[in-house]
Amino acid sequence: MRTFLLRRLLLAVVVLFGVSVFTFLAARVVPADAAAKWVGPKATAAQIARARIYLGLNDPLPVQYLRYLSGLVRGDWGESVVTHQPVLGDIKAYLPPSLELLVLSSLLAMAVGIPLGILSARYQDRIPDQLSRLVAITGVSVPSFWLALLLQLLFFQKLKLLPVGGRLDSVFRLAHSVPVMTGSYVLDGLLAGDWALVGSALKHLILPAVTLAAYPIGLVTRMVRSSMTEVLGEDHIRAARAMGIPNRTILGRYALKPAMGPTATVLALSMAYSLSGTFLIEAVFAWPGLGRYAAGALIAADYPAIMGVTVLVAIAYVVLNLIVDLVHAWLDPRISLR
Amino acid sequence: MPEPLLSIEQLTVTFRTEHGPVQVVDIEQLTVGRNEVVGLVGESGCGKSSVALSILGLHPAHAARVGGRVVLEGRNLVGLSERELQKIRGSKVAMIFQDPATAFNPVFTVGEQLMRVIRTHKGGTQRQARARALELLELVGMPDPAGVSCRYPHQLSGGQRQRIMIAVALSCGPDLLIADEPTTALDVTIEAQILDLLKQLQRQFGMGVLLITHDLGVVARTCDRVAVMYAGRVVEEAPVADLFRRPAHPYSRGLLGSLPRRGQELRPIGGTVPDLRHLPPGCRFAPRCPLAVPTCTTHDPKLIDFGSGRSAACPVVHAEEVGVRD
Ligand SMILES: Nc1ncnc2c1ncn2[C@@H]1O[C@H](COP(=O)(O)OP(=O)(O)O)[C@@H](O)[C@H]1O
Ligand SMILES: [Mg+2]
Repeated sequence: MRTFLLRRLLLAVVVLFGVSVFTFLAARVVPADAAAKWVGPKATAAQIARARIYLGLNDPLPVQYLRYLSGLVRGDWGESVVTHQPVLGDIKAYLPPSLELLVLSSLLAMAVGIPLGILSARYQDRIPDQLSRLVAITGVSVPSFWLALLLQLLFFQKLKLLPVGGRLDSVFRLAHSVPVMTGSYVLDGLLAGDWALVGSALKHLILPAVTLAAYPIGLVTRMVRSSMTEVLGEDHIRAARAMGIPNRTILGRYALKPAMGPTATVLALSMAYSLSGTFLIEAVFAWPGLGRYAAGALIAADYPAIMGVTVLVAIAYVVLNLIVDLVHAWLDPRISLR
Repeated sequence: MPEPLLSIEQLTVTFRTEHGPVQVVDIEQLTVGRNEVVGLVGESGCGKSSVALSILGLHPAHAARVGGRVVLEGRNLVGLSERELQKIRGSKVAMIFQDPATAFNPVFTVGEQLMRVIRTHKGGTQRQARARALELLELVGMPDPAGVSCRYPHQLSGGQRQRIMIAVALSCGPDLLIADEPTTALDVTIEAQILDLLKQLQRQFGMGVLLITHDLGVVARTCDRVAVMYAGRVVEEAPVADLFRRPAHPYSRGLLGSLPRRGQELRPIGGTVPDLRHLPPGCRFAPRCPLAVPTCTTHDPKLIDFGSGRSAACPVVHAEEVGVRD
């Protein structure tokens, strides 16, 4: 176990090193001039030249890279060429709302996708399976902004049950002192015992989380179905039936547990993607998450910000991969962590 | 004659395949008495496992159709609901499979799996089930039952796994044990140990056992009575000693002839097992039979009772030949 963690840590370092080289080079080969960006459109040639020196753009590439790398390690991820704010500070502000959304939508994806997948495997090619297939295919194929608008129309406009967007009611925010600890209002509310805050934050989370969950729900449903179908055809399932183990135990335990490994893998991949790939959902729900930050940076060709988000997503992939490996080992004793 | 524990009557098993239905089992009669070990022997693919699975209704409904009767203690099991069958499986009738490596769920400990069977049929607390599980592991000769129960299947040897499978099968005191090639996946020394264990436990519990095998050596070692199967049918039934002394059906004679014995040449049966999709008319063994007469390829032979527990589905052999006096 310890050697496993050590090895994975080493691997993570190698991967992140590769990512840093890649992002650095990508930012250097694109045509836009970082110095020109830095000083703005009305700057003189002399100002641009001074900015080049300030930003170190005249140094040899390896020197620039080493400076970038040591900055990354020290927590200096550069400054936005647009806002001149530290990139890491921006990411720290945008990350908690994103994570909040991501965690809730993943929980939803499991809570809905796993039972649907079991149902599908149980009633293969029969009506429950067809219905769950319909849900799954709709989930993965429906455009998220359209689903978002539909949900807003229904739950905000018609039923007046849920807010249309944002993280808290503006009235609530004015009347309430919001404790700031983790940056996730739900967690902060829980930590401070502030139930009104938790309630308001959750209410605002529901619609964007449901929208974001649509795709992984479909993914998880199909994955659970296909892995379970495979397991259900194995000898030990017939043996379990021969011992009189009831069907629900066979489905819910004997076939489900071996089927969860592949499911964890696809869910983790979709989570890593969703971390920064949810611009549309965040835009519709006025959600200040990483997706919007990344999109804004892209449009403004704000290279330090783009590089920052890229490194963050790479870290997320590495961490999620590690978690998936641990989950696999926990689910299946034949996998040894070496 | 007392009512047998298990009586199989006119049993047919038909698989749905891409090439249409294929009937792989067609058995007139097969019985297992209380406290009796009956061998069901035949070449691979002759339908032995299909018989075993149909006794407990384990064929998937969409893949196979089972006809006829499987009467256990006066009750026909064919056509029972899944719920009724569940109560019988593992408690009144238990089953052991060929490959103990794949018969256990790989992601739960053997102890968990054993305890779950116990609790499914006997209820009780986790603690009671655990105590019973340890007792059973000891019964089947596992050293360190507590340690073994925490192991996963892949951490045990084939012989250990099969012992534990026997513990699972015996956990609820079944009246009938179906063992489908229980030692085929094991090496010879382990095979002998497992067979001896089965025999000893069978005597101890007074179970009826249907022992399925393709190995006449296993039959000789373990069984009281034997039914020989060929291409889905039982072609001969006899007390074990009688079969070995004076086999009646030409197929049985061929099988025994093909047993390597000292001072005797190996005589395999000529020809191949017929394709179940294109069975020859008349006797299914006729194309390979050295004793076949013209009527063999036109008339379906029925089992002829020679008395003394002997019968064979062959019109050519006579009672005198098998040593039964009329
Ligand atoms: N699920 C199935 N679908 C179609 N044919 C099958 C199926 N299972 C077994 N068979 C066929 O039925 C015949 C008997 O098989 P089986 O009962 O496993 O024989 P044995 O146990 O004697 O080796 C074989 O010809 C086999 O190919
Ligand atoms: Mg078989």
